[in-house]
Amino acid sequence: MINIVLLAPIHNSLYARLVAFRLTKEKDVKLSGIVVRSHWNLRRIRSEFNRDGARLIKKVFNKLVVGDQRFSGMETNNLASLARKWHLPYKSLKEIALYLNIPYSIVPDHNHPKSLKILQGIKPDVVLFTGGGLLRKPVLEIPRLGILNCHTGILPQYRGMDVVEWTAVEGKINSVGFGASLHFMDNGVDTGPVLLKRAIAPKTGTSFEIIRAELETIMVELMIEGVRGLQAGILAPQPQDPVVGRQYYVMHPRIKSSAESRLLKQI
Amino acid sequence: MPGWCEDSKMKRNPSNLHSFFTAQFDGSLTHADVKHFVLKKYDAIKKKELATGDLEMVKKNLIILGWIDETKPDHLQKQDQSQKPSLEAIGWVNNLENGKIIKQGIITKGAGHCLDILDEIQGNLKDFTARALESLLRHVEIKRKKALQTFSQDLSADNMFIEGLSISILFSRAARRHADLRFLNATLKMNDWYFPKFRSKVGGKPIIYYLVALTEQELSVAELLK
Repeated sequence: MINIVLLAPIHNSLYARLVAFRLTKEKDVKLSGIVVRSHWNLRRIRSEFNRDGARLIKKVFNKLVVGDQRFSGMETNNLASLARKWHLPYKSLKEIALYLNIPYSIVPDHNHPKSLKILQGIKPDVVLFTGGGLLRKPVLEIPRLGILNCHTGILPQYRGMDVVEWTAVEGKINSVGFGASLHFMDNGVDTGPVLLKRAIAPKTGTSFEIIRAELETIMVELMIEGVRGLQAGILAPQPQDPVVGRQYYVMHPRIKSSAESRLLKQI
Repeated sequence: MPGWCEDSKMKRNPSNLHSFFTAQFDGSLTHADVKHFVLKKYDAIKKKELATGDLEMVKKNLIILGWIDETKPDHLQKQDQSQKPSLEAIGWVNNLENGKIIKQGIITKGAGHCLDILDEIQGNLKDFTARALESLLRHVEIKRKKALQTFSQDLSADNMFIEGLSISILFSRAARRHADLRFLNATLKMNDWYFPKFRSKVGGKPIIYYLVALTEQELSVAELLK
């Protein structure tokens, strides 16, 4: 039996709900707790606004106002279509925790002492990170096997932020490609050992929004496959070659605009 | 059994509202904004005869960009060809404590200017320069505006701007030299951050540095984003 705790960025994260729901169906897997980061943290909002600027408005809008409706009208695979396919019955992570009768906690930050105390109490084998900021060493050291994160880019080549757009603007769609990578987290940004990778083939006329939506469904699959593989002892994490990859940062609107036109040219 | 999006009708069409709010907070400069601003300031500085030698660099970039229609002065062409490895930059490296350009979160004074020289010459310090550039990029991207508010020596407000802008200029040129859009990305952000500080300024050395930074940025945009 593998003992798991789920860390989530917000109480209604569809990605986190799908991962948690799917875990309840897995044999020899026990979801023992859900920890959610509070979204009402002024310090965090300020820091994220400095980083993301106007994009933060979109993020907040998507999370709190649009919710699952951001996928409406989208014909390709996305988290909402996955939720329909799986008949996901839960509107929040709290409902899942109540159903499973497991601890559900809201913390100011995943590195907060309250979060550490919860994790130390549960002693998980693996923590599944579905978003909510950077994790520091004290949290990273708690789970027996490590903390799994799924990154929306091919590792080690594309680490960091906006890597879907960076792959397009650097003309690497046909060589590196779009994909997701499941890895253990370490002190760096997307630098930990990789367990699984999966690429997708974008279709003509696609957009970054569609590619991201497709990758989100891959992320759910990889998380579950990773848990299964670790439980069965058949997955060997591969350390990344630090020389191969580069770290990318939030993309400026003018480069994003160029990335959009290059995306259409390459596909 | 509750549906996962039963209340969806209430959430229809929020995109217009989102676009409105995004537009209010999006402080990024467009190509047209930059061109208009640079040409306006360049003319104003020239007319008031506030120009120093540094304005020649702006002029040179404007000619290359095709934003003004003048012939490149001979002495600038000669200057381009006579750039040599600088002892100043090598001396700066030798004086760094433990070879680090960022110490306790503070950038060492002269980083932008000296790394630009070292990156241009690609000599024995090539590996050091590559590491330093990466480290400076990470520092600016993570600390953002705060990265440009303190340098290793107490500086006047004007010199603080010049230090920061020299990093922006370094990033623009590094982007072209290495065909690395990450550096152009950082330059675009830095020049956006500086814009409110220079919007209404006409005199002083920092505004001329800012015009150099913006024109260097546009040279990189023209080369790398075409």
